[in-house]
Amino acid sequence: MKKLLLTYIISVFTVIAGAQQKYTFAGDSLTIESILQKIEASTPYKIYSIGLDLTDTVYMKADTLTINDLLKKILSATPYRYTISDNRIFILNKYLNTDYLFDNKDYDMLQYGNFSSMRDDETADSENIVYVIGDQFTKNVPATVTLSGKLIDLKNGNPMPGVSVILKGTTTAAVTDKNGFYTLKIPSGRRDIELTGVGIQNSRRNLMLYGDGVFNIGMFEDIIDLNEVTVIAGRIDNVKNITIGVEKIQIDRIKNIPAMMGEVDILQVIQALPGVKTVGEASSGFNVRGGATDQNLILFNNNTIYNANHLFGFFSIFNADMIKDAEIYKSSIPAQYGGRISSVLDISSKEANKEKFKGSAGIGLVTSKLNLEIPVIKDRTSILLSGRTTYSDWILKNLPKNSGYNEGTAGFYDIGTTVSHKINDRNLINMYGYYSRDRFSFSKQTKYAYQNLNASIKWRQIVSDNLSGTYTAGFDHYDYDNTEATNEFEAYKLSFDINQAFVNVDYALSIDRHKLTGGGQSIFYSVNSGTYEPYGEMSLVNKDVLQKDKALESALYINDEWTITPELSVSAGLRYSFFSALGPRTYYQYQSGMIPYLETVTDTLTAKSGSIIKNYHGPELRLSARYIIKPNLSVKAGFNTMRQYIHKLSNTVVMSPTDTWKLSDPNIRPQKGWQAATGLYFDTEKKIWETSVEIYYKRMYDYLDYRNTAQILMNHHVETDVLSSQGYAYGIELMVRKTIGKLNGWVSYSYSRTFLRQHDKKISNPVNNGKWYPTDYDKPHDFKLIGNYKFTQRYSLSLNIDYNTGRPTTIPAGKYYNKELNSWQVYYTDRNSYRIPDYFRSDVSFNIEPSHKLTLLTHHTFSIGVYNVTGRKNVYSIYYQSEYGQIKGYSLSIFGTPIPFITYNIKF
Amino acid sequence: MIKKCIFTLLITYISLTTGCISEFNAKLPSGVTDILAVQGNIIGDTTAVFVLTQSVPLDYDPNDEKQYSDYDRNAVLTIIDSNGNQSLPATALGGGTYSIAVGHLDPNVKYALQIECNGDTYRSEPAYPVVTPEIDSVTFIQHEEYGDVIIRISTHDSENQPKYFMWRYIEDWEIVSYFDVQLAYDMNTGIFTAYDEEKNPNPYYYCWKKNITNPILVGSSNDYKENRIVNKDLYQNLASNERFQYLYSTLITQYALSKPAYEYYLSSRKSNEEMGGLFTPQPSEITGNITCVNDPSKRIIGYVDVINNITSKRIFIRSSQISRNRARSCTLYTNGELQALLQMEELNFRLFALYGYDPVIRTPTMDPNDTSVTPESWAARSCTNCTYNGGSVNKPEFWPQGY
Repeated sequence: MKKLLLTYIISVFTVIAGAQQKYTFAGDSLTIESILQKIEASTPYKIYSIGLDLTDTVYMKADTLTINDLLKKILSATPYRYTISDNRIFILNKYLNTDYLFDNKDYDMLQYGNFSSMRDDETADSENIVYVIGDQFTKNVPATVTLSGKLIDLKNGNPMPGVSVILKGTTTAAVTDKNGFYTLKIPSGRRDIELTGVGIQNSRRNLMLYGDGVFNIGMFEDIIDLNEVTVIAGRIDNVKNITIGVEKIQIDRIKNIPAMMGEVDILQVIQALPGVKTVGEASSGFNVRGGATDQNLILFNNNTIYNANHLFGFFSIFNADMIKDAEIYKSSIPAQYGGRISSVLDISSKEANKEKFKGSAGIGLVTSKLNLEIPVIKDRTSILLSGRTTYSDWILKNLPKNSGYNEGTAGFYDIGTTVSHKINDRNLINMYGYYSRDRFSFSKQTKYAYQNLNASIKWRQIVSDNLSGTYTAGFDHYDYDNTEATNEFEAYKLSFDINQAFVNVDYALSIDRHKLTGGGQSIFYSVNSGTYEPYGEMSLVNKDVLQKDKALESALYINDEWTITPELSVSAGLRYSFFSALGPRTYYQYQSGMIPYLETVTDTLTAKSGSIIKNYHGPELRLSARYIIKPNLSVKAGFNTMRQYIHKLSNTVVMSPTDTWKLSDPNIRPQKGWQAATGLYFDTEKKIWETSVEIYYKRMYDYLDYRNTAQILMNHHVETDVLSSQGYAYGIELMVRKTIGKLNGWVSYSYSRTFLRQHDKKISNPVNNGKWYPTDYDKPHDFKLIGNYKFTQRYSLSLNIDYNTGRPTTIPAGKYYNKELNSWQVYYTDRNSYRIPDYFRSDVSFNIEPSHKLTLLTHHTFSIGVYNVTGRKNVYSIYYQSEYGQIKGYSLSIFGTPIPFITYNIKF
Repeated sequence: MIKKCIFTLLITYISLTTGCISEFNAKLPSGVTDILAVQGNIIGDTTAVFVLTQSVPLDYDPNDEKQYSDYDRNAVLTIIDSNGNQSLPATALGGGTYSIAVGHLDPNVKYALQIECNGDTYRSEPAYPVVTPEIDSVTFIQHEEYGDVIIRISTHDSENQPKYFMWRYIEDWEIVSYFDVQLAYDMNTGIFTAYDEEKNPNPYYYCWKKNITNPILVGSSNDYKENRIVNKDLYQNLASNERFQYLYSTLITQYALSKPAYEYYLSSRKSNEEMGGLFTPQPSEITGNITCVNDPSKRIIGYVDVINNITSKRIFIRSSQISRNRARSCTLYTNGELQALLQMEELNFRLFALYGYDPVIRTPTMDPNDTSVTPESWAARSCTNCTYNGGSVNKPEFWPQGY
């Protein structure tokens, strides 16, 4: 389609004349433009027009005409009509709704605006142009039109998610999704849309709408003369969004948060949100609204991540340089996600810039990293390459010899890539690859290593203006192998791996006020549950291999987000999940009505390869609704049910390097859970302060707990060592967030509780006599503050404060004297009956941003700060030991001093 | 096991951490106490010893007035078997200790301990006796120079069933005083007496020490080929420990266990000795095999296993067999030096002794007829008298000749 300049600035002569002015013609063909110029030249009228083709010619027979007749004559063949108002003549499409024009006295825009039609592959970048959408010559301008398109960052071509596209002066709005897409239904005619979002400069686009169309918008996200820098952005609209309990983090916006070791980390930021807790600092795994660490689905470009931690949880495996954003769903989990009962953390990689080669590098005390964006075919294909490595070995090496650790090593590296290819405007293909490896040891003899490998391909297709499809296929792998060779005769290697292949099909369809999504998902699992084998020639270890765990998990879902009225929207989804445990497998059958125990085995069954051993299936509901009471005040509610077919086998409170995963099978039921939540959301004027209150209640069933003295590793019948337990959690989360201005950040407080119990009457000696007891991460009071104050455009100060109640722990009930050992011994009765001291930590950092000159080839960023400024010795655990016959109590702190850090990043 | 300090150690390059682990002495809420704790096993062909104690609050001080003596003497302990036989009651030795002669155990009969006390009857789970194989060897190894001395055990069983073991050890070691003094001083009489290797040897030069405080040691041949345990580390001591100063001996006793007993001891070990790691599971209640017959909900601590026999082995380690630094050093003072050190105006041997110094070297004399014994130099008593280091001058019976 060729670009047309359709309208013209009609000059502004002011010649005194009246409406009675007559014009004489001699019978020739004239352009509309020349006729209109003649009118303007001879009268005080200014002529305003949009969309009229001025190069059209009109045959003027010999005649003398008044202005009215002349205008009627020249417009008779067009759908245009004119209106005279004061000294203005408006020539507009008669089907066009002109109320807006006259209500807003928007004449100047008509006069000075360059009108521009849009090609589908163009972006609208200017505030000073009126973009024309649809066929301006149409005789049928509909009352409402559907506008859809994509928002991109002009600087790097990246999509801009979370930006609100609002019809000016109304509450009609859409928010761009994670790929930057939006769809908005608005009345036709001359309209303005406003673009607001955190971290972008509020902007406006002027539109003349004749019909449905694609309207891609280009914006400068990181405006150079920006007066304000925000800590966090891409936030989903507090008031208008339907989903409850969702947070979005854009990595670009969190760089000013003081980070441990100076490295911005997405998981650390997630943990600063209300409702997300960890058992202690720098510990792997997190708990969302009272859920266990294995109840979070961590997706990285649709790939499932089983171990998201590097270096004992110091770092996450997600290199901040390659991350675009992350969304965490704590409550309303969209129907497209499933498989875990607590939360979904969906992390997306960046796409490389398709126009310009770019890069960045960073140096910290522990890691260094490099990130390259390589355009391969301009505007079509690009490759993002990201890598990170540690040099932390020297830290351990420098420890005194007698510490026993100086032979230890610890390190990791990771590499990630995104290949992005645009086939055409309607078809995009992205390929993702990720690999990470961790290794650590405390002596030459004891070594731990684990790795993640993930790959996927995603094809996004815009089928039509209101239907899009996404097709994803991929593979995930996680394994560890640990060797222990202190005694060569007992030296062993313990290994585990999990593999899964998956396919997802997702469709999104907009019809009127319905936004329908639907699709399906299938995951094939193959888990090597454990191998214990001799290590070295001298080893006497007997090789032992657990049976492979295989299963197919599939789901179909459909969801409708229905805007009933502009104020009331509901989202209703149904997901139906199926799980089939597959052979080959030999397994025990236990006496019915008895809990699995070797004494209650009744039969040993063998299933052939590929045969279905056991099916589990069930519906999952995902409901939420929002009602806008006032434009800045809304109330929301949600209810969802979830099922989980894979379980982490671990009896430690954190993710440990020997954790394995177990699929549901005939003897291990899937976990189930539901959550009901409601909240109130209020924004102050201009969204300077965004506030929310959410309350929730959730239940969990068939959560795996362990028998006292359970054997978890290398157990051929682990069902005899686990017990199914129930849980419930409730809480209230308050949040105040400021996203605009020199000072920005958030403050949150939550009060929440979470309990478990071993309710099954068949359990002979249940923990705490079958009564409810607090979980390891039950930390009722939780206060968090993250703030950034920008002194100037270049200098800012960040502060991070974290306070919470100490976590529950199990302490000895008492002691007794063991005369045989000549020693006092402790014994335990009730679980989690005591709490460790409260946790408090504050961090500060001072950041120097790059010089805001675009002409510079490189930009440097410096960050210097202190972690745990007050040096508080936060207690991680308390424990009691029998030493030389006496019982001694100890508290273990992970960080007992302030820890300074410095990082340097360069962008080119 | 993952060691516990790693985080702090990782960051010591910038911080002067004062220690990531500190003592924790908060007053804890009291849990259920006064629980009966039973120790001991039914061991064939021995005089089995059982100890009954009562659990106390964690902050209980043994010197407290409150006595936990419910089971001191008044319990009736018998051994019952699956044929319905019941032994004669055990002899109460006081302090909760009871002894009972156990004859030969029949491998096809289950045995159990029964305790009757204060109207309650307690019984251990009846079990068949397990046979303990011989210990193949007890060895020691020092992986590096001046490194820890590790005591290791090897054993195997000809039967095809995996075996579970518990080990206990008793350590004895000989220490010598730093100085082999030439004379003794009697503070009361003020008389110096010369020592003579044959007629009047220095009684405080050689001493013996003993340790019977034990960690819980368990192991299993379950994971290993041929049901062997080879050179399993049992325990270790610093090479510089005084244990290895002269001659060290350890007697290892091996007990075969049933699998549940092994698991019980393994859990006890974890909750008593292996706590505090980052990835350590939370401790939990450990259920033994003793129940109260008339009140099954009652908690009882302990596991009474039935063992056919026990085996043991003793080894000796000479100081010359290991590499070690001499840890201690002692200073010798002349009369004048010591007087100055103690800031005394005049020489006063009695005061020297009161301050804890003993004479070391006798003033030499050229005259063979001079029988006077006077001190020339002195040293702190811990350098001259091994009993001041906790030793006993009584040589154990099994101690080898020439030591």
